[in-house]
Amino acid sequence: MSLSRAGSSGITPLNALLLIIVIGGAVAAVFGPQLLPSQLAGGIEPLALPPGAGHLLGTDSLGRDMLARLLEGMRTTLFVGLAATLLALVIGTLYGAAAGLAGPRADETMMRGVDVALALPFMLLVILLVSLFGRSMLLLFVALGLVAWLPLARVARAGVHNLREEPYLEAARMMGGSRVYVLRAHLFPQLGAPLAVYATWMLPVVMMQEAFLSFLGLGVAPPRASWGTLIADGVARIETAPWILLSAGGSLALWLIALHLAGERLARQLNVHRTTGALERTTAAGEPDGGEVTA
Amino acid sequence: MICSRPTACVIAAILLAWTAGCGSGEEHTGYVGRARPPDRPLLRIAQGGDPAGLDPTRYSDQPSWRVARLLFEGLLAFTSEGRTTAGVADGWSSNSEATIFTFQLRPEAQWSDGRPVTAEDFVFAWRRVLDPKFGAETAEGLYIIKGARQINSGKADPHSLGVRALTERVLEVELEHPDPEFPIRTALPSFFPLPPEHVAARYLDWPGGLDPVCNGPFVLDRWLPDDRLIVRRSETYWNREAIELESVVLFPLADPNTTINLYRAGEIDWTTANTIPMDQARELLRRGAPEVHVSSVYATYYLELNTVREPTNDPRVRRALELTVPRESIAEGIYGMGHRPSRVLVSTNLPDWTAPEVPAGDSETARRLLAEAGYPGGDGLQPLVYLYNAGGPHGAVAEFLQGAWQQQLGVRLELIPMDFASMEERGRRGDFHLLRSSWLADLPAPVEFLAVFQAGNPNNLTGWEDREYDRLLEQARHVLDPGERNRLLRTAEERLLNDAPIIPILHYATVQLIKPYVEGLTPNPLDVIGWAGLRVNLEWRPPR
Amino acid sequence: MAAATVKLLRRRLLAALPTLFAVITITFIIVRAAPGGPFRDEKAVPEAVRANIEARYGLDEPLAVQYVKFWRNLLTGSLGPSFQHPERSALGVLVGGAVPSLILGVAAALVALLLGLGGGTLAALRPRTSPPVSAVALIALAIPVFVLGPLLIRLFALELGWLPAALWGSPRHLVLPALTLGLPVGGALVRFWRTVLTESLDAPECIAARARGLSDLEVVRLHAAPRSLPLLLNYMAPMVAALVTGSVVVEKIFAVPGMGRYFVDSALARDYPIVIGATLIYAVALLVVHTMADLAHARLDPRLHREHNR
Repeated sequence: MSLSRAGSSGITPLNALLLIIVIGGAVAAVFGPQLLPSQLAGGIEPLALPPGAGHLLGTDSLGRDMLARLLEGMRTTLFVGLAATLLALVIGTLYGAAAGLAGPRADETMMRGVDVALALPFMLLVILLVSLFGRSMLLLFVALGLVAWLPLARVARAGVHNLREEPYLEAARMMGGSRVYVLRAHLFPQLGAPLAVYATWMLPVVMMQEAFLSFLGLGVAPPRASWGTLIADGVARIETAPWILLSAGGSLALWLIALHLAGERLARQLNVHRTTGALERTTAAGEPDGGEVTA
Repeated sequence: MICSRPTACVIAAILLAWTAGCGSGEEHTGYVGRARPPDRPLLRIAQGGDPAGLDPTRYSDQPSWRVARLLFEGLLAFTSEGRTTAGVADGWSSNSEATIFTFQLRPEAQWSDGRPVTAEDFVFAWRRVLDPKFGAETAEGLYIIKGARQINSGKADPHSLGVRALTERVLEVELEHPDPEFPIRTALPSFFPLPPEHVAARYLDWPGGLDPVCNGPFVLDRWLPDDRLIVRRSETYWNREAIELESVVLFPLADPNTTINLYRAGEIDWTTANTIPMDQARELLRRGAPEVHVSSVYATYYLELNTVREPTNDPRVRRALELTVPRESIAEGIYGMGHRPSRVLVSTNLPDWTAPEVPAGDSETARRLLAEAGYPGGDGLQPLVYLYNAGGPHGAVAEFLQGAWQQQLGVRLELIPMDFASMEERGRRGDFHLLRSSWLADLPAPVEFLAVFQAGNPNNLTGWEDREYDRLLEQARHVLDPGERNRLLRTAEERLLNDAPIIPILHYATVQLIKPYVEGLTPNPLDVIGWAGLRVNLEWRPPR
Repeated sequence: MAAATVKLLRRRLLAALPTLFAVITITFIIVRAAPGGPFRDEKAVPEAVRANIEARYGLDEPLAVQYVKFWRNLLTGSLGPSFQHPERSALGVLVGGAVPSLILGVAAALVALLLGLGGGTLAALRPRTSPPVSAVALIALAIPVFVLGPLLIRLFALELGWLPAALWGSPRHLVLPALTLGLPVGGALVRFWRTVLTESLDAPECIAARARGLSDLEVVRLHAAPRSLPLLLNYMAPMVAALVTGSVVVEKIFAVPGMGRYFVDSALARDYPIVIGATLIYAVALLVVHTMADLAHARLDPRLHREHNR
C-alpha cells in the first residue's frame, strides 16, 4: 500500500508520458484526419508499400497511407469507445440506482433482468443488431454500450445499498427530500468516484471489444477504418505486409497500456479500490477485462 | 516507478523475435516450408470447412461433394484432369433426339458390403432426392429428368419419374428436353446411387452413421467433426487396383493462415482451392514457387443492378457504371492470381465457346451516357446502395469501385457489408442499387451461366426480364448441333450485356498448394479430382 | 455446514430456472427476428425446393407453434437437428464441441492462475519487482488474442518448430492455444492479485504474523491469501465461464474443434437449434461457475452470512 501511494504524488516522468500519449493521441485523432486525409491509390496496383519516404508507416492493402488510416481508425475507435462508455454509464447508473432505491421486490426483479442479459452471449446480440440495422459507428457503440452497462448497474446498486443506511440520507429523507432529490443531491456525488474509476477501466475493454468485433468482420463499414479493422487487415497480411499489424496493433496496445495506467492512477487519487465497497460485487459480475475472450 | 524501460525491453524482444522470423529460408530452398513425404501412402487435405454431412445426394457444399466423391461413384466419374470418364456405367447411348439415354452398368461395380450396384439403386436414390418429404436442396439438379419438377412440387407420384431399371444392369432415363451432355451430369453427387436396403429403413435421415455402405474408391474410417475426416481404401471398389492411396485425411480448416501454417509445417499435403491467404499466394506466385498451382475455373464475379429502382432502372446509368469499372486493378491488384478481368458473364475458358462482343466505350462515353440520363457529373444522384457479403476481398473490391466511380463519374456509393443471409433477404426485397454476386458453373456449359437470368430463376435479383432472351435459351435447349446451340446462346448473352442488368468484373481462378511428392493431382476448372492414379511418392527427397 | 450447502444449492437452482427460461425465450426471439433464414447458399433454390426444406424442419408453421414445439422437444432433451449438419443432432454437435472447449478453457485458466498468482504475489511481496511485472502484465493485457496467437505460432511452431502450429489431439497441441487464451487473462489477474494481496498484507493479522517471524511466503499462504481468496473467486468466475465455453478466435486460429465458433457461425448461418443450444450452455456454465464460487466462498469464510441475491 505504501508503495503504491508513493507513485501517485506529483508529476513523474511516467505520468507525463501517459498524459502525452492520452492527450496527444486524442488531439491527433480529432484533428489528424483533416490534416492528413487518406486516399485510394490512383494506380493500377493497389499494393501495400513498406514504410519509406512518402509514407512514414507504409501503406495499407489498398495503397492508402498507413499513418492517415491510423489516425482515422483511432478517431473511430476512440469515438466508439467513449460513446459506448458514456452510454453504459448513463444507463447503468440510472438503472442501478433505481433498483437500489426501489422496494426489495422490484429490486430483485430488476437485478434478475441483469442476470438474464449477462447470460446471453454477447456476440449473438451484436450479430443480430448488425444484421438488422447494418454496420455503422452508431450501432457499434450502442451494441457495446448495451453490454457494458450491465456490470455498472451492479456498481450503482451496490453503492446505493451501502449509502442507503447512512444517517445523513435518513436525515435528508426525514426532512422531506423526494427520492429524486436524494439521488441528485447525495447519491450521485457519492457514486461519482467509483463510477469514474470504473469508466477508465471500461474504456480500454470496450476498445478491445471493438477491435475484436472488427476482426470478426462485424465492425464499421468501409471506407471508414477503426483500429480493429486495421488490425484485422494486418493479421491477414502478417507475412507480406507486417508493418500494417505492427503500426495498428502497436498503437492500440500503447493506448490501452496508457489508459490502464491512467485508470490505476485515478483510482489511487480518488482512493477507490477494486476491493472496497461498491466495486466488490462488480468484479464478480463480470469484470470486463475478460471481455475479449467472451464469445 | 519507471515502467517504461522494462516495457520497452519486452516490446523490443517481441519485435526481435518476430522480425527474426521474417527472413525465412524458403527463398533459398524454393519449397514452401517442410517438404518431406509422410511414411505411408497418405494424402492430407485442407479444405475450407466440414462437410454438411455424409449423404452424397443431399448437400451442395464443396466439402460435402469432395467427401461424396471419395466414398461414392456415379454413372460417370471424373479423371484427375477434370474430364468425365466411365464410372459405374461402362457404356451409354441415346436416341437421336437426345431425350432418352440408356446406361449399361459394369458387372464388377459393387457396394462395400459386396452386393453388385444395380440400376434399381439409381432409381431409388433419384426418387428419394426428388421426394418432397426428403427436402433436399439439391433436387433442382435433377429437374432435367422427365416428371422431376412435378414430383418435387408434390404434384406427381415419385414412381412417375422418367427413370427405369430395364434389367439389373441397364438404366433408362427420359429427359424433359434434349440434352446431349446429360451423361456428364450424372457425375455430380446428386445423381449418385444409394443402397436401398440400408437407406430405406431410415429413409429421411442418413442411416450410414459411422460406417456407411458405399460404392466409391474409399470407405469411411472415422469422422471427428470439426477436427478431421479419415477414409481408407475400399477393398470392393471395381477399380481398386488404380487407387494407390491407402488413406485420405480431410481437415476442415476455416482460417487461411492456419491452413498455410500447417502446410509449411508439413502437416498438410494439399490446400484445396483458395484456402490460403491471397497475399501469400500472390507472393509465392511471384517467387515462382513450383508448389503453387493456379487454375482458371468456370466462375464469374459480377454485380447485380436493380433494374426496377431509380436511377439504375435507366440502362444508360447502368452502362455508364459498367464502362468505368477498373477491372484490371481489381483482377490484378486485389486478386492477382490468374483472375481474368472480364466484361462478359459466361466464363471465356469454356470449351468451344467464343464470348460475344460488348459495346465499346471509354470513360468519356460513360460520362456522356450519365449526362444523357439526366445526371451530368453525378449531379442529382443520391449515393447508390451497394450490398456485399463481408469477408474475403469483397470489401476491398467495393472500396475500389467506390473510389473509381466517384473519380470518373461523380457517382457516390454507400457501402453496406452484411452477412450472407441478411444480404440475400434484402436483395430479394429489392432494397439496393448494386449487389455483389458470383456464379460457379457445376458443368462446362454456357447455359449454366445464362439460365440464371431466365424468367423465374431465384438467383436473379435484378428484376430484369426479357422474353426474347428466354426464347433464345429455350430454343437453344432443343438444338442438338453444338455450333448452332452456341450461336443462339451467344446472341442471348449479347442481349443481356447490352441491357446491362449486371456488371461482370472478372472470372475466378483457384490457387492451390501441392507438395512436390504428390503426383497425379491436376487442379482443373471444375475443381474435381479423380482418385485413380493419384499417388504420394514416399521415396521423394528434395534434390541437393 | 452441509445443510447450509444444500440450502444454497436449492436456492441457486430455484433462481436459475426462471433465468434459463428467460434466456432461452429471449434467444429464440432474437434469432428469429434476424433477417434471412437457414439453408441459404450462394445458389438460390426454386420455390418448390425451399418449401420442401421448410416443411421438413417445421419452419413453415406459425412462430408460436414453433416455439411451443421447441419447448416440447427441449423438455425431452432434444434440440432437433442442426441445420448446418442435418444428419447430426444439435445437442450432439454442441456436446462434441464442448469437450475440447472445456479442456482448452481449463488449461487456459490454469495458465492464467499460475501467471496471475505467481506474478501478483511476487509484485506484492517484492515491491522492487512490481514495475517490470506490471509492465509485462500490461503488455499481455493490451495485445489482442488474434494478434498474440499468430505471433506465438510464428515463433514456436514455424521458426523453432517446438510445437504444432494448429490441430488437436495431444497435450502438445494444447500448449499454444492455452497460452494465447490464458496470457491476457493472466495479465489482468496479475494486476488484480497484486492489489488485493497488498491490501491484505496491510491487515493487522498479517502484520502480526510477520512480527511473529513468519516468512513472507508463509504469511501469504497462511493469512493473506485465504483473506483474499473470496475476492479472487468472484473475480475469476465469469472469466472461467467465458474460457470454458470456448473462444471464437483462438479456436479458429488453432483449428480446435471446440464450440466457440458456434456462437458466431451458427448465428450467421441462422442455425436456430445450435444458437439456442450454445446460449443455453453458456448460461448454464455461468450459473455453475457462480454457484461453485459461492460454495467455495461459504466454505472459506463460514462467518459469511451474506445475502445471495443473484
